[in-house]
Amino acid sequence: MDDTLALGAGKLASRASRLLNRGSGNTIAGKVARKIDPALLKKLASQVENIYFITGTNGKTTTSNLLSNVFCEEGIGHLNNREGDNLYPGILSTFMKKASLNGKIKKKWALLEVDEATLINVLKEIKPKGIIINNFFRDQLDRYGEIDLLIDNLKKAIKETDATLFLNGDDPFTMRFDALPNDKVYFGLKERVFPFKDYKQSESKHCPYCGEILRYETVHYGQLGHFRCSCGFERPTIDVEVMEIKQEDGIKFRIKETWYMLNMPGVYNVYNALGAIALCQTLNIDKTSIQKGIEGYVSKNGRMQSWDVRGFKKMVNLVKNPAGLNITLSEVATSKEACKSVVFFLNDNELDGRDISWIWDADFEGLSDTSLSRVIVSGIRAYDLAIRLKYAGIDEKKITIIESKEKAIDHALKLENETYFLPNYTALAPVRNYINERLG
Amino acid sequence: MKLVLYYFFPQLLNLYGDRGNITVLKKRCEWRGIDLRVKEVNKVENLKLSDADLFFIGGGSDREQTICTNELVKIKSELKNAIDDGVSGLTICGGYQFLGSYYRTVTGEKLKGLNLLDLYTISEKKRLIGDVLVQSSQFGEVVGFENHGGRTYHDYETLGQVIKGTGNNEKDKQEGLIYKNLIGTYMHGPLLPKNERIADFLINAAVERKYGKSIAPLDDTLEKKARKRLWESKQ
Repeated sequence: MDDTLALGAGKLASRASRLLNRGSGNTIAGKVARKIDPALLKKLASQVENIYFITGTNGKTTTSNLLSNVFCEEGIGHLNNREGDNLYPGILSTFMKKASLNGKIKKKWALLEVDEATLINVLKEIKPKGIIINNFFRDQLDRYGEIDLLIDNLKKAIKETDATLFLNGDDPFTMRFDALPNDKVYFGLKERVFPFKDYKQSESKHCPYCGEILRYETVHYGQLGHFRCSCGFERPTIDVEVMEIKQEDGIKFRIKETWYMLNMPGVYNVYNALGAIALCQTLNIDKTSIQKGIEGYVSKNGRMQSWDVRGFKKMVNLVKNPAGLNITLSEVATSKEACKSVVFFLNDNELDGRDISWIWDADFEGLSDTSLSRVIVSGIRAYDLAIRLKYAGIDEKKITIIESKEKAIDHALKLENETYFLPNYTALAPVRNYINERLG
Repeated sequence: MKLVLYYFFPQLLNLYGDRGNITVLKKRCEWRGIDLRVKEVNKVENLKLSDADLFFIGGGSDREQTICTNELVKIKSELKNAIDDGVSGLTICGGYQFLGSYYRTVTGEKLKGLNLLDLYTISEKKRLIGDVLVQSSQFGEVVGFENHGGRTYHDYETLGQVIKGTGNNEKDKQEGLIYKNLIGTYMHGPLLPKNERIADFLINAAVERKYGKSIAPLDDTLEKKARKRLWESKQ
């Protein structure tokens, strides 16, 4: 009875939210339902035999969407929070959507991205078969404090499960989970497989066990690479390793003798595909389905999503932390287009992290090298962005401050050049939606 | 003109983007034709501060702050001489706290500070996190962001009165510390980008001490707008 009430109320709230144009309705549905029946998530999830989680700082949504695409190719019905609602209410809502009003779910598989801190709580109610861990980067500082604490707590939570861990072997932070007794599958990139840009502002790389500075034979980007410490902590032998990368029409990469193709820019996305591939291989999914699933994926969720306007590319990508921003700006720099503009949107709402100082840890200095005709800054903290750019060496005359996101987008769309729209977390949906509205 | 800034433990003490303060100091010097040389210090062995015109100590987690303090205590007298001689200094959060005699953790453990100034800090479980607005007689409106468990107590001149947020502790309604040309503060943001008057105070003090000159003003229209915007929106 509780279930029906909770499910019914949640579904109603969700519809109302969508009708009132307040969003996707995913979060409100989960919030309402949880209040009525706090055990609802456990009850619904326990009916789904094969649950896999994807977590980490960057790339969760991309990995999750790629995985879902492969499962669709293979014909495996599954639950997936495609839109990226990865906090508790969003997770609950994902299960609710596939549940009948009397609380029955028929789906046997669930592929869910889960926010790193939320995962600690979710694991108390759901025991997944596997967890893909992409990476850890300094993200919303005042939400989680330090990465160390987050990782320790997450390790404790994962230890209570039998989940197989799919770990990014190139990331010393992720490799801290190697200490757990769970089964593991490692993925990574071979040394020097791609010339990622060298950033001046990088995370300090200390061994999490003995505190010594980590030595790197190759650095891919940020703290990802072939690391080793004198105490013995080092990159493992990789199970699923990319041996070659070719950037042509899209990104082609080879694992053993098989080539895959990503139709989205940003070579760092190869890591995101790897997590998905590692899981699919473990499940013995047909190679052709994996290839087709990865190749057929076109981003519609603001992760490197693009439109063509009068022959010029307009692209949206989420940037919410230094690592993500650095790698996105290096993509901007590699574009061969003569004239480019960038529009940054910075909000400081609760979910963004109220402390926006991370923009000072990001490499905006690299922007002054590129052929930038104009930079527009927008969002609640537009002025902070403007100051950051000024101190990064960008000519103040090139910087336009338009706090209103819609006005900033209107202004940018009039420019005859390649435009990159880079919003942070809470700005993403409004920016993407407005651009969709304007460009149809 | 040339200035030298000692930047202590940049890798260990940069928890909240505070390296942005160094970027601001560098640029504001560069725009005035002053060459600011930043010397990053990771080891204090045999370090002499005789050529220091400015220094910066940021904040880190308790563990990192303690490691750095144990190193810095080796050059305690150099630091004391520098500060008393009027070398410009900026210390943020942990850097500020550990100038004092001790820092008492939440579990009651007393971590020794550098004992350079008469101040002490007591940490409590409830963290003080949020935007801070300070009215300063010397610097006007000062804006920043705080994130600390420590409550610091001292009798020195402060940066100013807290209009929004907490500041040093929950009793005084004051933020930070000014002693000669040394500033201690809990304010992140980072501090200097939107509070260019504090940046210029530090640079000017250094230029006056070394060359007997004053620095020329810069066009701070953008910074003023940003500060005003934040002051209004965060009330």
